[in-house]
Amino acid sequence: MNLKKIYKNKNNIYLIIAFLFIMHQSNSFKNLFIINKFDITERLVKYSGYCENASYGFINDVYKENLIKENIEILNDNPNFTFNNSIWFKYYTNVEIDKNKIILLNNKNSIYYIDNDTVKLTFKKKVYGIYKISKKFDNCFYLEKND
Amino acid sequence: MIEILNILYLLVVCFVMFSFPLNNIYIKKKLINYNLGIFEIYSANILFLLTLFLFSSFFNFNIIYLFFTIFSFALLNLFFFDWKICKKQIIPLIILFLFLLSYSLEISTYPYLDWDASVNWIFKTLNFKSNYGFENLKNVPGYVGYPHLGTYLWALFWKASFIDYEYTGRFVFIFIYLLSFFTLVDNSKISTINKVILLIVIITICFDKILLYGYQEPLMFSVCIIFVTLVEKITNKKNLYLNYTLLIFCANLILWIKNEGMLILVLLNFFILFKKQITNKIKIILFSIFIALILIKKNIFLFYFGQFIFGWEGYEFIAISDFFSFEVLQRLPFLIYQIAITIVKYPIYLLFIACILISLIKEKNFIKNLDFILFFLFNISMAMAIFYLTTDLSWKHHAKVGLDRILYQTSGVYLIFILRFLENFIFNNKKN
Repeated sequence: MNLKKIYKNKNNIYLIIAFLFIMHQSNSFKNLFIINKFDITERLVKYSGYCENASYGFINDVYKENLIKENIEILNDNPNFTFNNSIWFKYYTNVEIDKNKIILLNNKNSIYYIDNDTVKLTFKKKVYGIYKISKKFDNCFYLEKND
Repeated sequence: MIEILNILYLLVVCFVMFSFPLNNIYIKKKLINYNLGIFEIYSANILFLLTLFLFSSFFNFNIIYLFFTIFSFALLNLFFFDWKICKKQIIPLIILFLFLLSYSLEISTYPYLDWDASVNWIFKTLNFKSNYGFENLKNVPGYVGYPHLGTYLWALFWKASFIDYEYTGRFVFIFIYLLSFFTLVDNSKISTINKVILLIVIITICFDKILLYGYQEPLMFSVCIIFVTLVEKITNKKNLYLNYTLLIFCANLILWIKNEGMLILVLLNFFILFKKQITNKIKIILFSIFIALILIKKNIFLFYFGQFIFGWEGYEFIAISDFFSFEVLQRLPFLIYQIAITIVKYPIYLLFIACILISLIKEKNFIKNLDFILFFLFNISMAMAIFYLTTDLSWKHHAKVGLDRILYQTSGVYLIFILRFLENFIFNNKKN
């Protein structure tokens, strides 16, 4: 009975077609599935990388594991992401940058191993000094100043 | 599921918030002269509220209070809301909601910020979200010379969200962007079903990923459409104070969304210049106010930051003597090629060119569409000139990544002509 009513009203048919078209053309059904299946952190890691590109995953883990509530220097050796692209993930406005902590992403030739967990960091010809490796994943490093 | 509920909540917030202040049975009685449709009222409210946000961005206070204040007023306004006007447009409203939902889902699925957004705009947003004002922008990364209005809006809606992620603040851009299309067709004399088909086609054609990745272009796109729609609505009736006030608000907002807004505003003035229904006296007053707005913006930037940049940071014009030097002239083929790519990339341009050619052939009246023709020619020339006249040696890179976006943000204006063309030649022919 209800179906008949819907069918009789032309506008409803047009609306159903419009609904299907709009939802289909921007993959809304797939997007609904993705949002339900993966939480926001997983989605951010998927599109910004764990230890590649802007490396949201690694930065997020460093901040979470070390309960960091300040800005720390983030250096990215990937030529497409050398500017500030990765800073904003954990940026605190008007909080100074702690120069004793550095996150180095997508390292190519920026560190020179002194021993197993101590490195000398030189990024874009700027010598940063000696740092202790606090966390390492692939080519991403969380470094703390070696006092 | 929580995220989806949050999306729905924010979409409802957009609908409620921007229904205030004008859609009120008492105010509407006074605005009977203006013959405003629901989407035009929403656009007018957007101009009012964005102007209020622009003003409040200069003060340091918790933006959540601002949000709650306006939202409470908007909720109260629902008791005096003119629901009849909504009932008339129920199908377009449903279509708007569907598009809004589908694009919001897309943003939520890919919470990604593109280059300019991740190195510039997001820091301004974070500044406002942390309850700092305009003055503090000099302490955050990114170009201090870029205007901030869009980022304030972004911060406000991010703060209003139950989920603390930046992408939630960007749904409002989609809302304003989509609403501009509906404003375009609000008063057109075509049937609802044709309206809906037209809307679906033009929104699909105009869609670009720029919309999703945190750029300010969608906002500029919408405000440009609203500006020209307002000019088009001016008739011989007297005392259209609301239209002129909104036009001034709109011009001011254009200046505060992006740096090139200044040039865009100059180009948009063609529509005022060629509008016969606006008297010369009012034209002069409007132009004077626009110049004053530009000067006010310039002085605010000089006062707070000691600089007023045009284009990107470090942008400088080449010397006049170099305008036609061989070295600079060599840029032309590349820029023309980039323009050609952009025109193909955004079908609105192709559609506009086709419509204007057919219109010129059929009507044989060049003067009638002079405003659009001049806007188009100057718009293309302006986009090229930005890269042609710079001393920056990396002009080629800037043109590659920026020229299409510059042309995208003004492309909405051509929709007004396309719509007028379709109304005259297709929909009306069918009726006859």
